Amino acid sequence: MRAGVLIDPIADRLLELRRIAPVQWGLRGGGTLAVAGALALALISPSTSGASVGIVLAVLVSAIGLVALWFDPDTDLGVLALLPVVAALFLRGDLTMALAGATGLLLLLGHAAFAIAAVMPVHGTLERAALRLAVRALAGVAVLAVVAGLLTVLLARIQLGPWMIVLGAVAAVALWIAVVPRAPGRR
Amino acid sequence: MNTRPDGEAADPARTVRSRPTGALVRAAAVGVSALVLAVLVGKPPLILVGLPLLVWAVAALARRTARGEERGVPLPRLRLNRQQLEEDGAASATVTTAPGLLTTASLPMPPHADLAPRYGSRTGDGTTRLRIGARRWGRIEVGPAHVLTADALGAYRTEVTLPATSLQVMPASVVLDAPVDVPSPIGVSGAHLSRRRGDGTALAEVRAFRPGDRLHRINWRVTSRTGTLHTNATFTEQDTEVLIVTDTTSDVSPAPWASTEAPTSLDMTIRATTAVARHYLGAGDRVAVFDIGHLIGQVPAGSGPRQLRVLTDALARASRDDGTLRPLHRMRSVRPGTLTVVCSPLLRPEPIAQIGMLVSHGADVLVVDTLPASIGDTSVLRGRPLKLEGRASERFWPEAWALRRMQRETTVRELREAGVPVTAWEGASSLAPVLLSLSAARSAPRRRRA
Repeated sequence: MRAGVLIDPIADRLLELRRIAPVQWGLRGGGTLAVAGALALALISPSTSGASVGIVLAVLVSAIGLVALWFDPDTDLGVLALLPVVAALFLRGDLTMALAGATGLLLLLGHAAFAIAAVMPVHGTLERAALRLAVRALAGVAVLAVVAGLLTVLLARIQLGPWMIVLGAVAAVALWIAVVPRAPGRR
Repeated sequence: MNTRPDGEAADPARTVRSRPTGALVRAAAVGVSALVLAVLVGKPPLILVGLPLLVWAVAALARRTARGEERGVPLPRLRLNRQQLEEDGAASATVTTAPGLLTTASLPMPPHADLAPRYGSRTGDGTTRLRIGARRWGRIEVGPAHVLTADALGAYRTEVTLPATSLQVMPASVVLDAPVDVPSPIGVSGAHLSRRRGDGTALAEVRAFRPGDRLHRINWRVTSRTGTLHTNATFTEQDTEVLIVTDTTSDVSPAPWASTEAPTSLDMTIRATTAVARHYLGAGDRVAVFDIGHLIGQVPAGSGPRQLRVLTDALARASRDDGTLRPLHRMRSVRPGTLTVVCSPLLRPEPIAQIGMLVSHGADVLVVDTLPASIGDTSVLRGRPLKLEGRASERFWPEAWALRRMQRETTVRELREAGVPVTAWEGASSLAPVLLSLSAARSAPRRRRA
């Protein structure tokens, strides 16, 4: 069998990689780095010594999820890339607010990158106006997330009493108004 | 309620429902999981892990509700800025939805056209534009366009396929550098100077007055000098009918080593047809087109700019790659003396038989050879397989075409021996020497050719 019969299909596939737009490489690569960074923050601690079964499992599951996201950023299997981070922090004894907040923001960055990659074709170009739109929206979400995180930190220090029910109810009603679809003709 | 970019309310029939993406599902699943675990085990820091993703999901939902997109987003629209253009011209296809939506349009690569961006896909904010550059004449199908719209966070998306729209590309205009004289003018009024005396404006001679001469043509200066009546004799002005026989039965691509801009035989045939038609229509003659291969259809005789538009419109509407089998047409008769220009690569027997019929009916036939010069070029043959794109070719197309061209030379020689000039199409100056020789041969004795 000639080597060309084996090598040519592989070479053709590799050549097709040239058609992938640089912005897709950036979004998927950036998303992978962010999720990997979050996983590293979650797994590495002073008490960690070597690779335990749990760490290996977490890395493996997350890697499977990331590979699935590389092939199809819209796949539901991508949740496997994020859940090990939550599980690792859940099992961690020395979890601090700062560590959790940093991990959460990294997860947000990684998630947002794959979300935008999923709504663009692999070989398409991105206009500056579209990039501005996506960055503005993500910046708004990041600011809201930071504000919500700070509120969480503040509330965590307070002894909650019955008066919190009122605040909780107001927050729930506001959320309901924001997200529930309205009847036609009413804005 | 949804509004369009122009401020009008969106018609519910012109909206399309969006569906949640995998990203929204992932964000909700991870965010809620972290929240539930934090509440169950009493670890508030765990809330901060899932909170950003929850905020992302809630923000996407709230944004969708605030913009009224829960009932649907505006249906994308595809619009071309031009319906007609010339070869090497460009048009742009614009896809529009609504501001604040990531709009991605993808077009399949049309044949004989370039797209910008290169792979025909671009994402914009509410509207996106793709450029189509036409390399060849004919009808180009732009689309169908695949349009993907999503909100700014990528939480909801819609996918729609818009039907294709046509773009007509007219052949490039070439101005022939050739005389407008025709060998045998037929009509009785037109732009060509004839040798026949009659009513006209060009002075032929001053001769003695004869009964029947028009009184206003009397030359009083000569009459007063000579004492006898003299009159001005003029040449009549004539036009003619030019018949262009177009062979669209073959479309031979240029050799692989030719430049990417090199035309095919069909391109050369059509460009030659357009150039000859424009040349004689500009001189005021009547031009008709007979298409053997029925790709562009028959164009009855006509004159003036309108006839040129009729012809270029017929060419622009032709779909050169439709692959359908078309019956070949054969012309039965032609008026003797008609200047007939046959544009053909001379590969099939039907056009050659048609030339023979035209000659036998007394037409003044001129053949324009539209086979690309790179086809059958023996200068690249070295007695071993040619290397194309770094690989040695296992076929013998260059050698086969070289043999075919040598066979064709016999046909060309026989045509020339029968008195039919054959000239290769090389652009604007191709026909000048042949047309001049045809005009000079007009006064030579003739015999009827079988």
